[in-house]
Amino acid sequence: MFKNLRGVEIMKLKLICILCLILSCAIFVAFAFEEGGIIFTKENMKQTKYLDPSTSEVNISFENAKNKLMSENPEVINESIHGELIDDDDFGIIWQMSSKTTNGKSIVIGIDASNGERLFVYDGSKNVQGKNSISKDAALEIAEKYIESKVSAEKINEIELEDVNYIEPAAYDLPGTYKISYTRIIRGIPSLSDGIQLRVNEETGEVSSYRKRWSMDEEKIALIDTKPSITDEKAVEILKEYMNTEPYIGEEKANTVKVISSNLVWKEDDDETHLAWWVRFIDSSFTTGDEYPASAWIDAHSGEMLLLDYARD
Amino acid sequence: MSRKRTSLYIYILLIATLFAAPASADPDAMLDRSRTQFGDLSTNQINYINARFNEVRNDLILISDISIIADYQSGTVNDHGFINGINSLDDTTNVNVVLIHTHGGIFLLSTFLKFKDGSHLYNSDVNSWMSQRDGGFIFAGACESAKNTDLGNEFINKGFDTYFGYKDTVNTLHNARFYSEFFSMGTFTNVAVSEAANYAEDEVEEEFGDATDVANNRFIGNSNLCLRT
Repeated sequence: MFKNLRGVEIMKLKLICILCLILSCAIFVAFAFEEGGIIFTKENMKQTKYLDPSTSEVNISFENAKNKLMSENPEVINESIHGELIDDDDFGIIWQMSSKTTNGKSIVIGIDASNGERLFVYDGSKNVQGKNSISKDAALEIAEKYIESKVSAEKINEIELEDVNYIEPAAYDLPGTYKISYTRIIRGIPSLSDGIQLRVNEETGEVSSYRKRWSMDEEKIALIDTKPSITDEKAVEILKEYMNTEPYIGEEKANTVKVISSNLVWKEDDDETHLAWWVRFIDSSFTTGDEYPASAWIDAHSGEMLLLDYARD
Repeated sequence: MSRKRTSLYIYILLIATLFAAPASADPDAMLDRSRTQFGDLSTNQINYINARFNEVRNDLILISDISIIADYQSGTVNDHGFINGINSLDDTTNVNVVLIHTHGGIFLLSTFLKFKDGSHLYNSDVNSWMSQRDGGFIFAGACESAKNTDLGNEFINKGFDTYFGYKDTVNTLHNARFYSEFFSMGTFTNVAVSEAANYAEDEVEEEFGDATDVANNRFIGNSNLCLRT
């Protein structure tokens, strides 16, 4: 009799425990999937971004990279310097170094881990307001002098000025900026991705950012005929046909395509380099105030649509 | 006596479970992929956006204070749901991070973000629905999300440190590449959001040949904020 009572009690206890478990699971699930939100936690996500310097073969050590940051940018605060070894998609293996600066801003630079070349710098200490107002021509002159001091004459011969744009301040406490872009020319054709980009502070005339990308493989490009197999008119036809078949665009818009420009460029796509027609265009869905056209890149030999950059938010 | 005590323990356990579960599930950051739900994108474009969001998620988790991320993979249900998502963020986190990619615009001089049910989030909605918060960063990846400052200012009034948006229309793929690169650099130690934006803009120019749309951006609040220190 006593034994039976105890058995019933244990069963009840088990039942309550199971109910508790089900209830707590339901609560977690409810929170995790509330309105479609899926919960990700640090525990179930593995960090793979930063390389372990002790197992990576690099010529430049953390100390070398740190010294380079400090020697070229005396305004950094030594105690706040941070660095990681990164396998970057655009630059390969680099030391990415950052620091606070003495004027309360921040600086980040990328250093090639094999030869110590500075690949990019974004210097917040130079991105501050000033009392002057420099002209576009003066900004260009500053940019050219800066490039001459950082880039070999051989590489300077391979670049061409693409754009000088004035960009308004992005915040009430930031200056206006001239963004200056140079394109790398390979076998007489501009590269879409490679080149040099700089920012010159419009109020102080200082260079606040610099970036040099030189990732296209000349040996691969040497195998591609620079004379296109299809004309730019044919490329536009391909574009219209493509738009026609896309349900979210359709025939009506495809028939109203107005080409703004069409140029040959080297374009990388899935680790392959293509000679491509870069067609910039608008259609009937663009209103008078729309400043930014759509773009399409079509392989100039195969006629394949590499990328359509059409949608707007 | 022993039976009563056992029952008491069970009740305590039950109540503790009820309260502990939600508390432990409070996210530190929130991702909203509403833009993928409007039917005006190809599968390739949706895949591109999703891939960029996954990159952002992997970067955000590098911030020591961010342990849990709520990822609304098909977007929040509506404007109120979006604010509910923000209200559910753990306010003890140093900098809560919110990223939304959606349609946006201006109606009668008021900035709005659009949701998949057609609802529009205006500054007055933020004012009505959002709890007062202790810091945070919101990336409003939508056309004209910072053409006027009304919506951004409301987030700042509610305690956010910084609101980021665009002053004009923005190409969908440029926007997606921009926020992916923005958070890639912005989650590096001691990098201010304004420098992360310049880095992201250059990445967009290298991929698409032009970045004038994403360069036309605005920070409301602290442009010198570092997401990771």
